This record gives sequence, structure tokens and C-alpha cells, in this order.
Amino acid sequence: MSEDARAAEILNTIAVAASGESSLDQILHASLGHLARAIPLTGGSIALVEGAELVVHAAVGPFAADARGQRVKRSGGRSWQVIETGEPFMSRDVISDGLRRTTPIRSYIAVPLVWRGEAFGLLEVDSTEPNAFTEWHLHLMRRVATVLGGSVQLARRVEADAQALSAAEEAQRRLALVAEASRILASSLDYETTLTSVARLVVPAVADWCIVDVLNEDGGGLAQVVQVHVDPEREGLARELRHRYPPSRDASPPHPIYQVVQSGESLLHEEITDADLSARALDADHLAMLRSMDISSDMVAPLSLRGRVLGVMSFVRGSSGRRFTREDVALAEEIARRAARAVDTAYLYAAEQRARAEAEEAARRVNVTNSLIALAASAMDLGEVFDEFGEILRTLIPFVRVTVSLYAPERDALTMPYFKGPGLTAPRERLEGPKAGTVRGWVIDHDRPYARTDTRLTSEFAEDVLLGSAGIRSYLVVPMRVGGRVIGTLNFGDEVPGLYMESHARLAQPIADQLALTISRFQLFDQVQRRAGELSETLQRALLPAGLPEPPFSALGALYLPADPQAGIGGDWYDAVLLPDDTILLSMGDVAGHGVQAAAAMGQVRHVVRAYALEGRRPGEIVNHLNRYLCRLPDGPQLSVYIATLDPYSGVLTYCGGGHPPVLVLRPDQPVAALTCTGPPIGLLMTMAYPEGRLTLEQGSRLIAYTDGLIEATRDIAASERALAEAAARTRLEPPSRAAASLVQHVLGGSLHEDDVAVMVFDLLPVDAPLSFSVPASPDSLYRVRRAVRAFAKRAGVPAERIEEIVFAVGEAALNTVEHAYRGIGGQMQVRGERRNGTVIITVRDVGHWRDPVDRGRGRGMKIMREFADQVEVDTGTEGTVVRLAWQVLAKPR
Amino acid sequence: MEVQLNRRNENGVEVLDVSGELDIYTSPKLRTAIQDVLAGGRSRVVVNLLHTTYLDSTALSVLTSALKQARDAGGTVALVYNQPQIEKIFTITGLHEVFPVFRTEPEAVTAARSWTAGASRS
Repeated sequence: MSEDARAAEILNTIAVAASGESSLDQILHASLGHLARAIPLTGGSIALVEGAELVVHAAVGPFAADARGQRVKRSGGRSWQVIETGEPFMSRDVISDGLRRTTPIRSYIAVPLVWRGEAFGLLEVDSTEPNAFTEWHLHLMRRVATVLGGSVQLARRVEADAQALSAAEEAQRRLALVAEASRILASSLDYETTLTSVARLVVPAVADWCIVDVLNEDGGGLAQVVQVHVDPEREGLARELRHRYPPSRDASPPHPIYQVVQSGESLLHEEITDADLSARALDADHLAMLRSMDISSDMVAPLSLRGRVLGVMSFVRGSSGRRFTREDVALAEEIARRAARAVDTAYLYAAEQRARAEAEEAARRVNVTNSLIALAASAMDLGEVFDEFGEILRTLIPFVRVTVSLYAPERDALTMPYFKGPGLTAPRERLEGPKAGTVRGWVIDHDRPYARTDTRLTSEFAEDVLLGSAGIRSYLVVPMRVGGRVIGTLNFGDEVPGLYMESHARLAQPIADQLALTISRFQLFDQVQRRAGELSETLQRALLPAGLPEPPFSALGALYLPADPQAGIGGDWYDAVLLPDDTILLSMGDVAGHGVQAAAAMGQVRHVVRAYALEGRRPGEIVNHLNRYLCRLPDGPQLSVYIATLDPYSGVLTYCGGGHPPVLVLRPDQPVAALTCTGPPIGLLMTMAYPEGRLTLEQGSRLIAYTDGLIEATRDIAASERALAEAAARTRLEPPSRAAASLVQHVLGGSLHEDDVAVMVFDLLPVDAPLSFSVPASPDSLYRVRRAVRAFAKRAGVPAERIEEIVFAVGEAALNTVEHAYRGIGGQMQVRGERRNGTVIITVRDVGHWRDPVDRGRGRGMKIMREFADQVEVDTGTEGTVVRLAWQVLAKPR
Repeated sequence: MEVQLNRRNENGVEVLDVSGELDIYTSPKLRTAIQDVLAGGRSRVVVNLLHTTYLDSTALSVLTSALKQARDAGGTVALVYNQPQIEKIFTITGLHEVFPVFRTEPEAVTAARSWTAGASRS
């Protein structure tokens, strides 16, 4: 083959080889290999210019391994000269050319690889034989250089494209990673979970090991929230490493994560050597653990947001992977930035939730406190509501028992009127007793709350011992203040020690003060009521009838309620007098106004009415007379008045009134009716003529008279009147005194009444009612007794001939009473009669003592009694004498 | 309550009509009336109880005192009644044997006329 043909063949082979190989180095290597077969070389190399260095990419020959990767800096050496000049160089024999010899090389050719006029590489061949190379070889190499020039550039471009592509792909991948990380972080406020998911994204895509530390909200330190390792075993080891050797801020130098927190800048350790690990390790164990974690490269990025560092994210690669570079740091920072935002949002949300919860709790507390205050304020009797009070209080302040202690200064002692909780039945358990030595006493004296952490640890106060033995370990005692005084304490106790804080005391204070207010108001009210009641009652008792008369065939009941003490003593009165002819006088009235003046006027009027009646004047006369008299008085009182007389024997009711509420009449088998007296209050109009009314009542009728205080108390007069009428019907069968009370209860309910209330209930008893009759034990009463007994016997159906026997016998018994019982001092004699089947029993009772009989024919009296009655019993006792007479009357009552 | 007393003279005999009830309250009136009669020198008295509806032991005492006084003066007090109860009273007290008792006033007056001073009871 001709040399040209051979050259062409070699070039072709190289060209083909060049196009077939994938990487640059492979192209160079293959090309050199082919060249080596064509040229008798010992060694050869292809080097490329990379910056300021010439880097050997391919080499053949005995020193090829060493040569590859060799870098020769730009210098004046032969290789660089060729690059600089762009001129090939050949030396047939370096010795004869006088060139420096450091190697056994004798023959040498170096040709530049040129592309578009610029030398970008060097092709060298050498031989240990001198004159190994000819012009033909030089020429060949120049042509090879040319071919290589294009191939290399092409290969370089391809590589550059490939690199660019992979860089683009890498960038794309990173973008996708960051996007996915963002998506995860935005998916939930639970940053621990989301950060863990992000770490699992990072491992192993970016790192072998990822740790996220987040600063505690109070900025107190870093807390590890995420720890993910590609190798699960190492993950466990990592946790232990952290646990045993937590990163220290104060170490010198500070742990990398603290460095990043403080600087706000990321840290990159491209290459971590064993020496670096040794420097980090605190001891041999630590070093061993670090080594087993396989740490080769790491980077730490700050979770920073708006200049604040919220934590750090650490990425670690092991020895197997490539090292971290600056580009990786950018990715790390990007992910860390997103993580920071997620943590921040979570913190903000948590803070907002907490604020809202606090606000709601505060609102709840205010509501509960208000309810408690309202409950305490509205209660008249705290004892009734204390149980409910305690239950509501429990939602605010925990306790097993809650009690109220009051201080009684006159005894220097404590009482416990209100309590709730177990084991509080015995007074000892309720801790009532002297104030000295008690924590409640201390609180009262110092006007400050006191909390005990554990009763078991001290016996400073009496309660520590007592409560401790009852299982109460912690307690809180709060002073109850009102009007600048501490009147007692509100006490909480629980089985759990150390339960009560200052916040509890603060919550309890307004409640304790409201209790104090309620209690003191109640006490005051009670006191005032009692004192006023006493005063009222004393005065009124002095002015009102001492007792009610007991007329024959009648029953009488009355109720007087003094007005609300704040309103003062009123001018109401009621009166019932049994007149000598056994007519009953009923009077009732209401002097306008309150106070002692009204009361005095009332007393006077009452007596005047009596006086008139005893003179025999009729109701109409009395009222009109009184009116004219009062009108004549300068500044005389005005008053409502109702006066009636009723004859129990005839049933005739005579009445007159002015300015008084209608009197209710209940007649047998008839609905409630009202007797109205027209006319204004008396003492007003001189010329007023008050008409007298007259009515015959049947046996079994009832009269109800009342003062307007009864119906005006509830402010709805019509309703009260209706209630009264209803109540009158309902209480029809109750005896008069009980009925009077029932009526008042029905109409007033629980309302306070500002005016006095007086009610009188008068019954004209039915025909079969027993006799109950009281008269003064004086001679002039005997006629009345006989009359009543006669009427009773008749009503009881006693045959006519026996009636007189009864009268004579009872007459003697009554005579005895008059003669014996009262030594000249007036008293009462009570006659009772009843019929039990066929027997009539009449008793004559007195409450005096029978003196020894003065012989005034007394013996005869006894004899008459015994002869006129079937049975006679005389019971003389210290409380009085009862003469009991009985007759067997065979006839049935009519 | 009052008791009505009517005093008249029937042929020299003083008659006291008692209408109403004689008890501790009203008996003094009877006593006074009888005293008046006796003080006037008359000792022949008839007490007419026919219209007396009630009479108790005090009235009995008044009558017995009057009787004694009348007797001392040589006269007597005679009673007129026919009511069962009044009768019973005088019977059980034994006073029906002490007083001259008549069922009608004319009888009583006639008997009384035969009494003279110093004459004993009939």
C-alpha cells in the first residue's frame, strides 16, 4: 500500500472511531489507540486545554496510567509553546537537538489540536528510539489532529449539550421537588407531619439523611421535629446520637445548627473528613457513632422568614454519593424557606387558636361569675339556693367541698351556715367554733385570701389538722367583704394537693363579695324585720284586741299582718266584741297613713266604736256619728271603716261602712257574694250620710272582712279580688282562724305588703254545730248562759221537758263558777255543749280556783245539779275547774 | 235581763208577782222588795212564782231568809207555783215542806188571811 493510502486508511479508521464513540475521552482514547498502531511510538497522549491548565485526557504507553489526568499549568514548556504558537514540533532526537531530558524519550512529535484558528489541545507521541519518526509521521499527525479537531469539538458540544440537558433536567427536577415540598407544606397546619413528608421527599433524592430542628415558640432552644435517614437502621442510631449528644449552643465552636440559627446564613461542608468528625466529637463513643453514621458531606440551611430564623434544615450525604455543591445549597435554602413559611403559619394559627380559646374561656368565666352573682343577689334564703350555687361554682373553681363561714363578733366565733360536700353533717366537721387559731380567722383579720398546698405538710391552723384528716389536702379561703368589713369567708377544699392558684382567688373574690352582700342584706332584713316586727307587734298588740270573743253559735278568726317594716306601723285595726245582749260587734278599719300617729288615731277610733256599741248604738249611727266627729276635728284623720253587728240567735246582720273594701258573704249553697258599702272614707265629708244595711243570715253562713292592704299588695287589685273570692270558696270548710291565714296566703303568695293586712272571718255556725261560748264570769252573764244553753238544747233536738232541766242544771254550774272561781276579779267562763248520739254533754269551765264554799246555800246548788242532770262531774285542778254535765236524751236530733 | 216584780195587796195580804228569771243577778231585787214589805210591818207575804221561768239556789236563799224574817214577825211567806221544774227544785231541796206552797194565787191569799200575828203555820 502506498503511504498515502495507508495514511488515508488510518485517518478513516480514526474518523470512524471518533464518530462511533460516545464520550470525548473514549474518542481520544480510541483515536490514540489507532494512531499507536500506525506509528512506532512508545507513548503518546492527547491533552485538552481547560482554563489555565492542560489536562491529559487519553494516554498510551508504559506511563499511560500516570499520565492520564495529569495537569500541566500554562508555562513556557514545550507543550505550551506548541499551543501558543499553533505550530507543530518534532524532534528526531532530543539529545542531538539539545533538549532537556527528564525521561528516556528520544523521538518526539507534538501537534496542536486547532479549531477555527485556536489551539484547544495537544497531540503528542514519543519514542525511546531516536529517529523513530519521519516527516510522514508528522504529516500524518497533523492530519489526525485536524480530524480530531472536528470530532473533539463535536464531542465536546455533544457533551456540553448533554450536560446542559442533564443540568436542565436537574433544574427541572429541583423545581419539581421544591413544588412538591411546597404542596406538602401547604396541605396542613401540622408542620411536624408535613416537614416529615418533605424530609422523605428529600431523602434520598437530595440527601441520605435529613434533620429539621425548629425553635421553641418561646425561643428557648431548638427541638428536633424531623429525623429521616435513607437507612432505617441508621435512623434509629441518629435518634440516639441526638439524644445522647444533643447539639450545644454553648460548645466551642457552637454546633453547626446553632451557627446557622445565629448567623441566618447556610453552611456547606462539601467534604467532611475523619479529622472534622474528630473535631466535632465530644468523646470516643460520640466519634464512633458519628463515624457509623457515614457523614461525608453536609449542608445546613436556615428556616428563615422576614429576617427571623425559625429553625434549621440539615442535609447529609454519605460516602457513596456525590458531595454537596453550591447549587445544592440553593435548593436546600429554597426548601428551608418554604418550611419556614409553613412553620410560621402553623405558629400563627396556633397562637390565634390559643388567643381565641383564652378569650372564650375568659368569656365563659365572666358568664359563670355573673350567673353566680345573679343567683346570690336574687336569693332570699341562701340556704335554699346553695346547692345549685355550688354546682355552678364548680364549673369555675374545682372543689370537693365548698363552705361559707360567718364571723360572730360577739362570741369571737365562726359559724358555717352554708356548706356543700361530703362529711359536713356534724358541727365538728363544719368547723364551727372559736376563731382563734383558724385560717379563716387569719383571712378575716388580714382581709387577704389564703391557699394551702398540702394539709399533710403542716399543722399551722386548726383546719390543717381537721381537714387533713378528712382527706382534704388543699384549700383556698377567700374573704367575704361588704361595706368595708369582712363578715366571713368562702372556703374551697379538694383532695388533690396544690390545686389552688392565685388565679382561683381572683376568680372567687367577686363571688365571695356578692355572697357577703346577700348574706348581710338578709341578716339586716331579718334583723330589721324582727325588730320592727317586735315593735310593731308590741304596739299593735297594745292597740288591738287581746283575744277574740267566743260568741254563741259562732266562730271567729282574725289575722293581722303588720306591714313591711320599711313602711312603718300602719293604722289598720280589727275588733270583735261580744255585747251584753250576745250580739257580736265586728269592726274593722284603716286609718290613712303610717306611723305612730296613725296607730294612735286607730286605737282611739276603735275604742270609741266600742263605747258607742256598748251604749247600744247601731252600726249606722256609729259610723255617721264618728264621721261628723272626725270631720269637726281640725286635721282629723280619715279612715275607712266597717262596722257590723250580728245577732247569733236571729242571724240578723246590721252593717255600715265607708271607704272599705266589700265584705264577702258566703251563704249555704250560694256562691260568694259581696256586700258593698258605698261612700268615701269617714272624716272627709261632714254631710255624708252613710246608709245602714241589714241582712238575715242563715245558720252556716260566713262573713269575710278585710282591709285593702290584702288586695293592694300585688298591685293588680282585680286579680287579687278574684284570688280572694276563689280562696274564700276554697277555704269554706276551714275553721275561721285557719281560713283567715289561708286566705292571706292565697292572695299575697309570697309578696311583701306595704300596708297592714287585717282579715276577719266570722261564721254563723250550722244548726248541728256544738256550742262554744265564753262570757265574763259575773252575775249578769248567767242569763246569757241560760239563753244559749236553751237554744243549744233546742237545736240539738232535746225534748221540751228536758230542756229546762238542762237549763237549771247548767245554771247552777255557772252560778258556782261565778261565786267560786274568781275572788271578785273578773274572768271568763266558758260553756261548751255537744251532742254525741243520744247524749248531751255540757261543760262549764273556768280558769280560776274554787275557794272553799261559803255557805250561801251552796249545798243546794250541787243538789240541784245532781238532780237535774243524769251525770255530774266536777274536776277541780290547778288550772281551773270543769263541771261536766250529761243527759241521756233518747230522741234523735231534728 | 231584768226580773219584773209587781207588789199588790189582796185583802191585807201582800202579793209579790215575780215574772222572769231569778238568779244571782236578779234575786237581790226580790230580796229588797220583800224587805220593803216586811219593813212596812206586813208579815203576810205571798210570792207568786207562776211566771217565774227560772229560779236558782240564790233565789232559794233569798226566799228562805225572807221566810225566817217573816216568821219572826209573826207572819210567813207563802209560795205559788205549779211549774214542774220549780216544783222539782223545792222538792229536792226539801223546801217544799218548809214553805207553804200553793198551786194558785187565790188559795195562797185565802190561806194567808187566816194567819194572824202569833199564829203558827198552817
